[in-house]
Amino acid sequence: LNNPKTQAVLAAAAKEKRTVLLEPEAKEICRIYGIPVPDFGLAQTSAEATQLAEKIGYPVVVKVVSPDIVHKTEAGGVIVNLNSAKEVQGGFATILDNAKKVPNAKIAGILVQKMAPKGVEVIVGGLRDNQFGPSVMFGLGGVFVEVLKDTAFRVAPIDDLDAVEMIRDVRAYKILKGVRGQAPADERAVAQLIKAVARILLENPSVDQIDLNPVMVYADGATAVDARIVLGGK
Amino acid sequence: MAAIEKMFNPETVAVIGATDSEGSVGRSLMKNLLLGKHKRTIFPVNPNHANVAGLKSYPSVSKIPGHVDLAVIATPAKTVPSLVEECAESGVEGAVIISAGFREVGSDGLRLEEQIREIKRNHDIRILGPNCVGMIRPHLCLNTSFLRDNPEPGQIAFISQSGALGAAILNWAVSARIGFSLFASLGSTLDIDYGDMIDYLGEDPHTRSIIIYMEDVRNAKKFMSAARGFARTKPIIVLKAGRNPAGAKAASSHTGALAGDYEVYDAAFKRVGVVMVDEIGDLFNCASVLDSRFLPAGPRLAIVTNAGGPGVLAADAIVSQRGVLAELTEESLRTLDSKLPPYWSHGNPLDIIGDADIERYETAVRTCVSDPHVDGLLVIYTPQGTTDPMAIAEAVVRIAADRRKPILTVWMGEDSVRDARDLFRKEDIPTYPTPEEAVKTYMYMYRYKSNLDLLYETPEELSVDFSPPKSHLKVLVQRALKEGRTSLSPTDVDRFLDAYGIPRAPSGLAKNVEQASAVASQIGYPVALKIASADILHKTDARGIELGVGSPDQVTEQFNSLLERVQKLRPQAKIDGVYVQKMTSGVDCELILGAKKDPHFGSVILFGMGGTTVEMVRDFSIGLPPLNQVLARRVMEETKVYHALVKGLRNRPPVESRLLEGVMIRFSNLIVDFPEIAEIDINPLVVSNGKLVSLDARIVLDPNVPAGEAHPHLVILPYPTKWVTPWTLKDGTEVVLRPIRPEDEPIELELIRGLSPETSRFRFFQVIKDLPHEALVRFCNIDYNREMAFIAETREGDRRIEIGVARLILEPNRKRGEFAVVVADRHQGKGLGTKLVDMLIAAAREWEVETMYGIVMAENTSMIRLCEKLGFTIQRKGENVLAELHLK
Repeated sequence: LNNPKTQAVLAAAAKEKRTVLLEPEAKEICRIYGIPVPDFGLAQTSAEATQLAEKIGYPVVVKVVSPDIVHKTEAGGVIVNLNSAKEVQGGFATILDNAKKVPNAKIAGILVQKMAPKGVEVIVGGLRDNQFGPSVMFGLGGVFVEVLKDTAFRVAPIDDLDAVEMIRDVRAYKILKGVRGQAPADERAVAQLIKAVARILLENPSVDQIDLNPVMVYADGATAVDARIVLGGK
Repeated sequence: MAAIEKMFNPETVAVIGATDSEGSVGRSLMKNLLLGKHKRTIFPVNPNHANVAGLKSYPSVSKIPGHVDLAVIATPAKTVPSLVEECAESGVEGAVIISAGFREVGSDGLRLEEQIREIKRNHDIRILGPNCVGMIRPHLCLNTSFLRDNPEPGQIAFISQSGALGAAILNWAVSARIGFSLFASLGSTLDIDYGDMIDYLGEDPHTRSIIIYMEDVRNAKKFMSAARGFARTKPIIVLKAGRNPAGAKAASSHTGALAGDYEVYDAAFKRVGVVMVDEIGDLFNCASVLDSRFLPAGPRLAIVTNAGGPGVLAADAIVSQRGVLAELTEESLRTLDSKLPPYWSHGNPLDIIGDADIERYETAVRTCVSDPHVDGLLVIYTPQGTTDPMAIAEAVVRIAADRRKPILTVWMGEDSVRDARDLFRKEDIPTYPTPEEAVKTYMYMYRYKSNLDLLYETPEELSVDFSPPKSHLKVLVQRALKEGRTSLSPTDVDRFLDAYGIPRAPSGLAKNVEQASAVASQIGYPVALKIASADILHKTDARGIELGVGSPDQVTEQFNSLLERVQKLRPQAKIDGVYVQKMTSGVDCELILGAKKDPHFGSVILFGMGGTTVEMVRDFSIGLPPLNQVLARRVMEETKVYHALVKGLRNRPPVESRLLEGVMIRFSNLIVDFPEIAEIDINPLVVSNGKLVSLDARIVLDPNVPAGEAHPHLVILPYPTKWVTPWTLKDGTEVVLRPIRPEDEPIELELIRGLSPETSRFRFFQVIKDLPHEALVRFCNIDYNREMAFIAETREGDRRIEIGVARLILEPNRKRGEFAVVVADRHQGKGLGTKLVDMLIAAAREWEVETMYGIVMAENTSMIRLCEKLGFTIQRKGENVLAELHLK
């Protein structure tokens, strides 16, 4: 049943008995399923990081990649909006310093990622429900999900109609349509993302949870800025 | 205005339009009224008949020998004004006008109502209706309606605005064997309204609870005042029609658009302890349980059941109604484990399994009743196997007899549990056919209780309780209105925020580029540029905002392009310049704080999640000013965003509740001080690093504020500061004389405790050494619209001491008021009593009270002398004297 392209990624994690995929692994799976993610690369050295940044184009974000650091922001493992090689070098060093403060943390490298421009923030998630099996969730980012619990759920598989329905189910849908003179966001791109998340769950029984948060939605297209995949399914 | 007591308990009734014709209203009225012929005299009035229903008929009311207490009028509308006039001139106390054809038919009908109102201006007659079905008082065998139903006496008073719906509900209630103390339909509410009825029923010994079907509140001030007075002793339960607005109203502010009719009613009712229900059935459910003295102290409900399903349904209902599923204490769990079979559910709901017998039910119920983590109990029984529903019901009745906690019952099924349900009803134990209904009622009980607690609450003193300088703001408002403007410029709005201590981002107005750069460099970059024009309400729509302007060069560039594009989009707008505002970094959350004027309830305050998406998010709640700390918190607690903020958003510092409360209270002070404000929006009020900052605020003025009244825009009067007077006792002691406030509870108690037995007896007619919290609240938390208490306060070091208090309580008709005064023993004879009573006379004059009176013990000679000195007449009444002062 396993999707052959994802097998290698999942097998590597399973071999190391990791239940949470590293960010580059999660993003690799996203890419396989057609979920747009910002250009990224993994750097082991400061020089590699600069090279990657030059290749990707500024501004960039640098993030720590470690199986032992789950809450990257709290651990000082994320620095955004770096605009030059010098800034990247500085950012690389700071993150390494901060990571060393976490006892016994294994560092897989530093992720260098293109800084995504601001769009409408949404969240797309997936989980394996005890009764209903693979299910997906959609909501608008920030206070909408956190404070208002303004979300829509559907059981996979998801077709175009389901996905569009989910998007329109949430109270904050009007924001996607564009408020106060803003252009409407690309609903179809979001729908594709929701469908892809459902497929990841359906085709990879070992995937238990997926969290794309935030996803930036633009007038044309959408990008998953951060991705988290938890294993534990069968 | 005359009292309504007599017309609601008449000895003589005239029926104008009485007839014998089959199927007529006049005949039905006679038939119903004659049911009470052994209690009162009925006079048919009909010039066309010599006799009606076997009684002598009179050609007109004026021809009836002797005094008529009540006239019931059922003749065509056009004849009614002259009939009312005749009644008024013959000294009839009140009229029930059954006739239709008034405001409901348009302008002709309104004219007739105006004629009746004109008659009322010159006479004391009171009027129920017109276009009402009348009233029924089963205890008195009085039925002035033409309805076929004749309900049994009971303890519920039912007031309906709509006659037809009222009659239908009554019919249903009669067949459900629900008794009433009163039924009345108010019809057009030309005179007697909800406020009058509540005042009357509040004193009626037969009435334990009041249920109301309401379309609109009519005189909101009167309703609120009456409800506040009696909600504590008699639950008032309202079914309000018109929950969903017919269509979205055009509103110029977010607050205006959000705070709909229903939301405002809900907030207003909560404030005075009135329960608002969703359905007709809830009216009666609540009426039968809310008058119980055993209301739940909290929302934690325990469920005892002999089947899993209904238990889970009940648990779901608790969660969805925002109640709490009680968590039993370890001790209770141990007790239950030791006494119940091992396969019980080991938690709440307590599933004691299908074969549960009396003993098992008793164990479970008793344990829950004694558990300190349980506020109330729901006992569910489903018919299974050999268990006997009646025997288990009897066991529950036995346990419930000690009434330590509310117990609600659900005996599911029909035939097999009917006897058990009858038993519960007989024993006054609430019983319902489904767990959901039981939970819903429990939550009504809890909410009623917690709203009553709000009335009892003694708010802490906050340092924000200040009176800011406001005359310069009044000048701003006056100038704007004189110039025909109804909106204020951003810099004027800033003056309001600054005066009331509502934090805002630093800013300044710039007329040209040079000024803009100067302002920006003074407040610091980056800045936002915003168009300043009284004609542009929504700046974003006019593309009049530029954010994140980071340098003098950018200011130069953006300033001109902003002006150009706004002028192109809004060529008519008069532009004052550009408002330069410091950008606030790290915005965690956007809030809205606003106020608007509701047509019924006056100014209301709105708090909630803000930003440009407020109308979509709809996470807000409404409160009525004036707010104190407790009330402010209560308003905010109804929103999700408040809970998220005080807990702290993900990765963000929490916001201190105190900070939010302070801003709410100061905002409330602003609203109280300015009846000229029609609408105000502070949106967004942003949360940044645990601090609050206003980024945008708008004020719309109301050009039509009635002069003369200090608070024409409030239905709950604020603390009457104008009575605060510094004064000196004869011995030189400096005191402050001022109206009492809820915070005075401790010093009031201290005064009462410190009185000598004689002084205590003179004041209370018995020696009082202590008073329960509830009684003290009644003394200190008063409705300044119908009661006044002035206290004299001195200071000894840091301690505040109350050395005297005088009180005047108006009777509901507002014609008479009773006063009483007491001065601490060691300060007697220093002129304080005289001064306090003199202040009461001033208050009474302002209320246009006709007579002020006091009952004084005959031995209390110094008090009698005081009264004589102030011009009271003294009359001996047994062991006491009556001191009366006529003010008119």
